[in-house]
Amino acid sequence: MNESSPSKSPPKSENKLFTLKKWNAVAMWAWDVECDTCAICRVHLMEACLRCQSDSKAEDCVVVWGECNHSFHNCCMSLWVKQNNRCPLCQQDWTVQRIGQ
Amino acid sequence: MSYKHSDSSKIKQYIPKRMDDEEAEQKWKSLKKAINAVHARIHVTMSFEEYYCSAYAMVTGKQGEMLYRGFCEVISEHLIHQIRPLFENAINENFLETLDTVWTKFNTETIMIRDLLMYVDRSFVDFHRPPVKKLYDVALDLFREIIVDYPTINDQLKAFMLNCIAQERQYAHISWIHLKSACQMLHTLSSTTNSGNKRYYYEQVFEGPFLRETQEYYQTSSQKFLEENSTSVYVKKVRECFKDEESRSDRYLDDETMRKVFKILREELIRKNMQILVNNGLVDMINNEKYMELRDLYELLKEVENGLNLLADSLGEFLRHQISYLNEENTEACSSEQLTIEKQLFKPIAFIQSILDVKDQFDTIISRAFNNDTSFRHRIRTEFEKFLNGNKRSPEFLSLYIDEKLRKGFKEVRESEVDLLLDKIVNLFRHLQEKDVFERYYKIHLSKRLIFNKTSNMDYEKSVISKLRDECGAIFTMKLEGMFKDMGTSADLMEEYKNTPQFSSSNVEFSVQVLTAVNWPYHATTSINIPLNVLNAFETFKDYYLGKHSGRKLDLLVNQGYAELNAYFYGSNKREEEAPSQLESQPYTNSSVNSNSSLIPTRKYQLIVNTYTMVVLLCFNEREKLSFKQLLDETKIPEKELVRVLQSLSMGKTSMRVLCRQGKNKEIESADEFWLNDGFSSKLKKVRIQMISNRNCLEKEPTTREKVEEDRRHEVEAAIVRIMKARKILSHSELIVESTNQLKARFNPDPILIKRRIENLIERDYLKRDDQDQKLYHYIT
Repeated sequence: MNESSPSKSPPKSENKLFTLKKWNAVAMWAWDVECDTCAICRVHLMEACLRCQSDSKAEDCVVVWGECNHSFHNCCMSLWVKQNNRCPLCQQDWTVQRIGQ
Repeated sequence: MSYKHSDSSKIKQYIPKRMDDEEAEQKWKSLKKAINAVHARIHVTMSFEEYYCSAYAMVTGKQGEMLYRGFCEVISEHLIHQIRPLFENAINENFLETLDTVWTKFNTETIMIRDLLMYVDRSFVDFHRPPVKKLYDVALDLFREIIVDYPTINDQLKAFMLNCIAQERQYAHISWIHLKSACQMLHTLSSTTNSGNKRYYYEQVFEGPFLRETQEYYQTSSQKFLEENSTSVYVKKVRECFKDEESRSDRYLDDETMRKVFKILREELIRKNMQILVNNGLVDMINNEKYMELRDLYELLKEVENGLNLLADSLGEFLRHQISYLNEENTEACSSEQLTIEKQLFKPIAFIQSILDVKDQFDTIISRAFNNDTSFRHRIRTEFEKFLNGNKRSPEFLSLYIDEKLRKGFKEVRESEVDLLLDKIVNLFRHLQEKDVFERYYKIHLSKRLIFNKTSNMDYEKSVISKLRDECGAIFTMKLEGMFKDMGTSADLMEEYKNTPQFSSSNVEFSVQVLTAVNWPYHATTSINIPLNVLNAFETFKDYYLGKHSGRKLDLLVNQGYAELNAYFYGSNKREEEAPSQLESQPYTNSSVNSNSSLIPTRKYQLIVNTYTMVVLLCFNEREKLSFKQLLDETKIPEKELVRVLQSLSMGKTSMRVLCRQGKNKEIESADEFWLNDGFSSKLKKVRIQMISNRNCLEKEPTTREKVEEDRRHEVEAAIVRIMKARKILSHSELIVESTNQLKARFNPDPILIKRRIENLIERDYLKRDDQDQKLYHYIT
């Protein structure tokens, strides 16, 4: 089966056949979250919460992480903590770990 | 005399004595003489006042009866002996003229006589029980009974009147002034009949027969018109008929008669023939763009009940025929043999273009010929909607159409008209029921345009988006707009990144487009093995990016992007000698090319390839020959994609193959081996390796459909939750109705789908059923 193979010709390793000149890559970003839905408004975290959608402030609707590593829309959470300063998912006291940007 | 003295004396009531009969005879004789004198138009010896006094005396002397009866007798005799014979001599032409003269004369005379006997009307008639008619009215009655109702006269009268009109309808000149007075006479004579209808006599003697004849006349002439003329000429003729009849009525008939004649005209000329008219004329007029004639037809049919409905129906029918013909054209093209890629592309674009053209045509017709009639517009819209939504692929086709136009930059349209065309396109979009399907396709097509920078004019892109936003609201276009924004931020980001030390350290010209997940129709890809030195370029950028934005993760989309490779082909002189015979039996090896390869010197090309292909080709730097299995293991590229890459590289035009393949079958198998084609040649230095498109377009279709179905499930759930959150408790049917209303701007949700989603939400504890009433839902907070 291999009679026709070109294996006998010496590899031209000294001269590479292909060299990369230019690369236009495409990448996609998303929030680095465990659960991709906001447990408060039940909207996907990559999308603005309904309130921001209707106020067309979708740009500013970012995600917040607590020390417990749970994440929510920042605006949903800031309304939530006014009533109850605990994480809605694990009931631990809520402390902000970081805010997305 | 003064009244002072009369207070003592009683006022005697004057009771007139009955005039004795002889005196009365005398007085009547002289009055009768006077009446005859009036008829004979000769002078009488006594004055008007004396006659008046005689009549007064007779009435007060209780001899009014004699006077009244005498009057009737004299008039009757006059009519019978003097007037009636006049008509026996009146032949043909002058019958109506004679009648006119006689009637005018009789009328004046009767008034003169009535004035002489004025006191009869004032006293005798008023107090007579049972009531009797006034003298003039009695005279009219007598004229009617003795003259006009006299059979020969009556027949002649009718015959002459109708004949005159019949002649006039044949455009003969007639002395209509006599007709006019005949009609007036009949009206006057109607006024004293006992019937409550003040036109009774006129109707009976003239109008009835006239209308019957009119109907017969137009019945026959309409048939003749129809046989001899096209619809447009017929319409003109009918207009003329209306005008003729109107002028006739103006001159000598009354308005009431005109109304009745018009009713007959509408019935005979229009309503009875409208189906034929429309059937024979409409299509022809439309095809020849005879807007004025269409307008006339429209105005004509407006006159009759259901006329416009009929026209609208036929227009709808014609439209349906026009567009179903489009569909046939397309399906025919579809079924006939295998379609080339161009044809497949051509089909949806031609499909949408034809719909736009037909729509233009019908819009023009309605605005120019049919008075912008809303019911017509509505009809046309319904037909288009039915047609457009009858084809499951319309949303895709429409998006493809826009894609094509935006890529080519609306070259075939003048710049000033682009906006108009865009409006038309969006108008078509408005008719789509499955707007969500359209959105999905639009996203796919838009993302390709953006990433490959295929858009010819960004303003047009933005214009489409803003029109869609106006149509469906900001939420509909939010993600599409997000895509444009991503492009902008990516460009800014790259500018910034190029000035960093990290960037300049890399030896590859690297750029990246960063997309926001969710906005784009792409999903994170499974990672593949990219040569480290290449991957490094991306990893460096990734560090830079994540340092700038906290809380994010960044994934390379390996199924997107492209690379430029410098490729060297050295030429070979060994292979063809080693394996001549086997190659012939293997159709996909490149024996024919290799036979000459010893003559070909080393050449350098630039290959433009996608990311997968880049990775595959870079493998051949390390090893000369690789099997499919090896490539799969080494690159970790998904099998389907790898097959496509290898097909594109090794199965195109013989001289354009970058790789040689050795395999047993037509399809690529895992044992197949690949090596570089040293005989590669191309006229161009830059060679773009086109990916073989997925063989079966139909195979692609259901996946998009499936995704749409999935999206719909989410959208339905979201709608249900929104509604229930606001309403707390709702019955099943109300919930179905409200959800349908919320969703129908995007698609027409199937009630079964909604029901399933409700059940699913109940399972997931968003909702619960009422304990008593199974048809009631509660929202669980």
